[in-house]
Amino acid sequence: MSPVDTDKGAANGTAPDATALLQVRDLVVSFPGRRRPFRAAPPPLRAVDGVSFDLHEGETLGLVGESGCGKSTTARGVMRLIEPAEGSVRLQGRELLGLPPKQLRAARRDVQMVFQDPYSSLDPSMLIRESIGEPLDVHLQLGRQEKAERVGELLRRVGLPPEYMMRYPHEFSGGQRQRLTIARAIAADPKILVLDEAVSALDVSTQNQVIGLLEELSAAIGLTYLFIAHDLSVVRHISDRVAVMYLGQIVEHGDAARVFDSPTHPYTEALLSAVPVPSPRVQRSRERIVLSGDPPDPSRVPSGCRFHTRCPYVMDLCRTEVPQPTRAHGSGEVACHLHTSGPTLAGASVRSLGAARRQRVPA
Amino acid sequence: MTQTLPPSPAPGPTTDTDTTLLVEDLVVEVLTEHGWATVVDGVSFRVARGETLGIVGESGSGKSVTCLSIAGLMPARQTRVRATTLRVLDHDLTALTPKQMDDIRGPRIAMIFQEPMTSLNPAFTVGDQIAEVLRRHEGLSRRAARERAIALLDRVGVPSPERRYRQYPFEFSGGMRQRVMIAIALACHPDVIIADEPTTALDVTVQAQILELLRELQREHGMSVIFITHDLGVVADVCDRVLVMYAGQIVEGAPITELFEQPRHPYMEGLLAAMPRMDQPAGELASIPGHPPRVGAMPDGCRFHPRCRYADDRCTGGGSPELVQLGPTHSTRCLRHPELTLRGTP
Repeated sequence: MSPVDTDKGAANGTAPDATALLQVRDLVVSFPGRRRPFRAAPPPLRAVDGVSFDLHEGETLGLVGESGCGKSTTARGVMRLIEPAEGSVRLQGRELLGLPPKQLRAARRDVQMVFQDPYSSLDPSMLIRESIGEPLDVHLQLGRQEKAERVGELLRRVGLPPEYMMRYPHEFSGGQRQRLTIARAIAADPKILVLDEAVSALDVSTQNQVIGLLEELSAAIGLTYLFIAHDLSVVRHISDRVAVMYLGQIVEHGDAARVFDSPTHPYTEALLSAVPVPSPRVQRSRERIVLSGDPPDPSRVPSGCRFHTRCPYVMDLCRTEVPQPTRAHGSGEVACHLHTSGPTLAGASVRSLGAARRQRVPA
Repeated sequence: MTQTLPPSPAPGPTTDTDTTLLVEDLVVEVLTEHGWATVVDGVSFRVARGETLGIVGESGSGKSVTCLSIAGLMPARQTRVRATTLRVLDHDLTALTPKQMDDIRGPRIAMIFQEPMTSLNPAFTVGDQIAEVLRRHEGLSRRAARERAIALLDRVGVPSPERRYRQYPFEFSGGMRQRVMIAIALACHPDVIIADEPTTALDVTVQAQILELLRELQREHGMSVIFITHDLGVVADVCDRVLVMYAGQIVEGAPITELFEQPRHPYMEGLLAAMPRMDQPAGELASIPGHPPRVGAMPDGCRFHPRCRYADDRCTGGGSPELVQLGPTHSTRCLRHPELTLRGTP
């Protein structure tokens, strides 16, 4: 695995950014295809196929998309929980891919992860003190007394009384458990938290308490978040920038307000229109785009633009040519032929095309 | 115009010929480690023909237990179900034996669950599972059942239904499985469909397809739908009328627009304020402090008072307040409702 040199950062048109805390370029994560008797081995399935993004200090980048689009696999590839096949992941300019295990372990101190299910991410047989103290043992080697103090401080930081360190996970509710996993994640002073559907399993009011905690933490200790979620309303709330994934690739990214208010990719437009708004008057008068069919099987990626099989604005060109990223109005980039041919939107919102140009694509 | 009518009257349309499902004073107890605990406490409502009634609330509020009890699907040994009235059209469900209940489920009441993966039997083809319902309830021949099942698959939008008929559940995506569940539920033209979080496990674009399908089918068949969900966006999209449940009780009931624009219970106001909005710039996200009470440890007075920003002395003691009618279609269980002006969403 040869680290790609920095100049080749032009994956999505962005110049290499020296100020980025985390810089991901052309990341590919692949899995072996399913073998069948008497057939040739299938080509590997590329669950993440050339993803590039920058994460700047103190910001929150939301990564959205439907199940199977590769958003969680991207996070796992960045963390090297799954070894990426190609690409480059630089943390403060230092390449992580290809780093020997010992150095990787040290580097991981700066990037910690919080998972969706707070029930399975805490060891039921360990006291909270032990669970939260574990990263301290790995990274800091504190004395007994120091460690206990530090754990108490971490619990206070996430809004729980320090006495809770002597309890077991089963004594806590889902929301409290998620606070505990966050306490554990920030134990060794990381720079980046990767939150993979971290609030998805919680009821709305508990969810908001945890989001509030994340916002507090980022203000207090300058944390940077990669926030992965399928709930677009939550993502809009918490993110500074958003990247939208479809079938292993980022199809559009930009400032959160720009992406949500003037989507430039037809997939983003459809995704946004599918989220019901909690206001009967607004929801019932909104225009809805119902995409037909399911996302295609990642082992049989369509030719040309990957979205062409479901795109309401599909053109002939889309079936054969892979669209290249171009600038979107306001901020970010989009990979869609509509911006360079046909209506030639040149970065304007697809919403400007209107319903008349949409066609119902058969499933 | 505010009047108190104990015991809690069933809100909803008053013309009785229109009512497909009538529930009065439903009480459900379940066996826990600490003995019997009441999880649904005096729930009453009616559903009109062609109406979509939403039931919302956080996990543990009793919304699913209410509906499972109506359909007779709670485990008999660990559950006690009582009700003054439990009626589907002219069938009194309280008087039925489990066997007679089997004849009601299907042609009268059908259910759609959240998890289409676990609701289908992995060992039988999808077609067999639809045909089984038709053979059991309508006495169709194997061939006739097969034909009807294929037509149903086609109707719910499963492409190439003849081929799909012979396939097993694992060969279907989540959205397609949920379409199969809908086909099974619809097979005997039920009067009432209970949909328990039917789209929660699906992606939003697939959710949009399923909601659209349910809407179309309801227009065609004129059945009543009870839609259980925690997603107020989905409620705003599909429901005509909504019941809000908290700690085993209905705390508010109202027509959809009224409920969202002029909530009359602080819990509903809290839920609305807590919903992040995708169509609006990020603002402050409110949250309801604390947690819902645990089963068997209900607070005195109003069950919501420990989390309520408006609670005063009247709310903290005595029994639980009654559900009060505020008009023909709106009811609330808040003692302070006359003096509170609560915020809804525009």
